[in-house]
Amino acid sequence: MTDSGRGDPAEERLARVLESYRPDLMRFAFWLTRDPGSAEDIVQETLLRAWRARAALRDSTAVRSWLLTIARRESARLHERKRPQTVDVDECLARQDVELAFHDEDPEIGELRGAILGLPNEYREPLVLQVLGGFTTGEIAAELNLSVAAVLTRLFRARNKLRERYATASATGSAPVAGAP
Amino acid sequence: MNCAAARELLGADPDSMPPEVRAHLESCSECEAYRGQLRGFDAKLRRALEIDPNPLRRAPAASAADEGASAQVVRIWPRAAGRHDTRPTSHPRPRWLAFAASLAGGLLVSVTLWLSRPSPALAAEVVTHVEGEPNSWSATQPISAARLDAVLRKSGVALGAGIGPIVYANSCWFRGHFVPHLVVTTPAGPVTVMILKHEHVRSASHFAEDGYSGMLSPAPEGSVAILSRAHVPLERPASSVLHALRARA
Repeated sequence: MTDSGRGDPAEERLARVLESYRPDLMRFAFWLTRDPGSAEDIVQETLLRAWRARAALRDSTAVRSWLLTIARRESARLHERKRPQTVDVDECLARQDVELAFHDEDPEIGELRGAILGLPNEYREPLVLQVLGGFTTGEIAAELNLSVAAVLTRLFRARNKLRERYATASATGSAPVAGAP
Repeated sequence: MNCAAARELLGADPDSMPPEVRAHLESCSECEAYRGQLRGFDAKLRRALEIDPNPLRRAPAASAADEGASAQVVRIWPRAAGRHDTRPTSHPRPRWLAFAASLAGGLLVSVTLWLSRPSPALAAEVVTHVEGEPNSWSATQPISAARLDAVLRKSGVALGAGIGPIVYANSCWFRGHFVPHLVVTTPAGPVTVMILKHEHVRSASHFAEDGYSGMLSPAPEGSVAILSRAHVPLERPASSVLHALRARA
C-alpha cells in the first residue's frame, strides 16, 4: 500500500479500520479456501488492494462488504493462479490450527463446522457469502456470475445437505461424514 | 404457491419473505413451522461459521523462521505446507483439559514449525508487496531530497550518503506499519529496498521466487529487505543501505 508520504489522520484512521476487519476476512477466506495459508494470503492481498483503492470507498458504512467482495475475488484469482490441489477434508480437520479454530463448547457446533467444511465449493461458497458475508441473493448471483435461480437452488441444497448431516450426527452422536457428499 | 415451492425459497433464504411466500405461510401452519426450524438451524449455522480465526494465522512476524534461516536460498511459496498433525484421540476427558492440551500441543507444533520451516512469510510478503507496485521498477529519474525525506521521516528513519541514486520512494503500509519502499539504481540494475523497522531477523537470508531474488538482513533496528528482478548481486547494495541507515531522533 502506498501513500503520499505525509501523515494524514483520516488515512491512518482508515488503516486502523481496515485492520480491524482482519479477523472477519480471515474467517471468510478460510471458509472459501479451507486452507489457512491461502486464507492469510488472501487477507493480506485484500488489505493491500483495499488500501490502494481507498479513494474509491465513498460509503464508510460499506467497508465490510467492500472488503469481503475484494477477498472473494482474490480467492477466485488465487484459485485460478495456483490451481490448488483438492482439499482433503479429513486432513484439514486433523490439523492442529483448524482444530483450535473449530473448538466450541457446544459439540454440535463443531460437528456442523466439519459438515460445512465437507460441502462442495459450489454450495459452500454461496452459503458463506450469504450467512457470513451478509450478501443478498442478487449480490451473490452477480458475484458468482450465476442466475438468481441458480443461487437459490444452491443455497437450498446447501442447507439441505447440512441439515441431513447434522441430523444424522445428532442422532448417532458421531461426527458427520466430512468427505464429498 | 404450493408447499414445495415455498420451502425451496425458504430453504434458500429463511430470513427473506417474498410476498408469495408470506401469503402461503398465512394459510399453511406446516410450512410456518418449517420456517421456524430453518431459522433455528440458521442461527447455529451462523455460529458455526464464526470460527476463531486466530489459531489459523501465521505467527505475528516471521522472525522466528527468519531467525532460523541463515544465509540460505529458500523458496517462499507455498508457505503453509506441512502444518499437519495427527487427529486427537477420542478418549473422554474434561473439556477444559482437552482444550488446554490442544492449545499446548498447538503451540508446540507452531513453535517447532516456525523454527524449522524453510519458507519465510516475511520474504513472501515482500515479494507480494513489490509485485503490487510494478511501476516502481520503471522509474529512472532520481527523486528529490524532500520527497525522500518525507518518506523516511514517516517511518522514523534517515539515510546517509552512499547508497546510489534513489529513483523511487513511497511510504507503504506493510504489516501494520508505514515502511519506506525505495528503488535504488546500481551498476547491475535497479534493486528494491524496504526498510522494515518492525521486522526482526537474526541473520541474513536469501530467497528466490517468481523471477525475483531477494535478501533479508538484520539492521540495527529491525531489518532491511533487498529485492532484484535480474539476479543482481545483493550483498553490496544491502551493505550500502545498512551503512547509510540511521535512526531518526
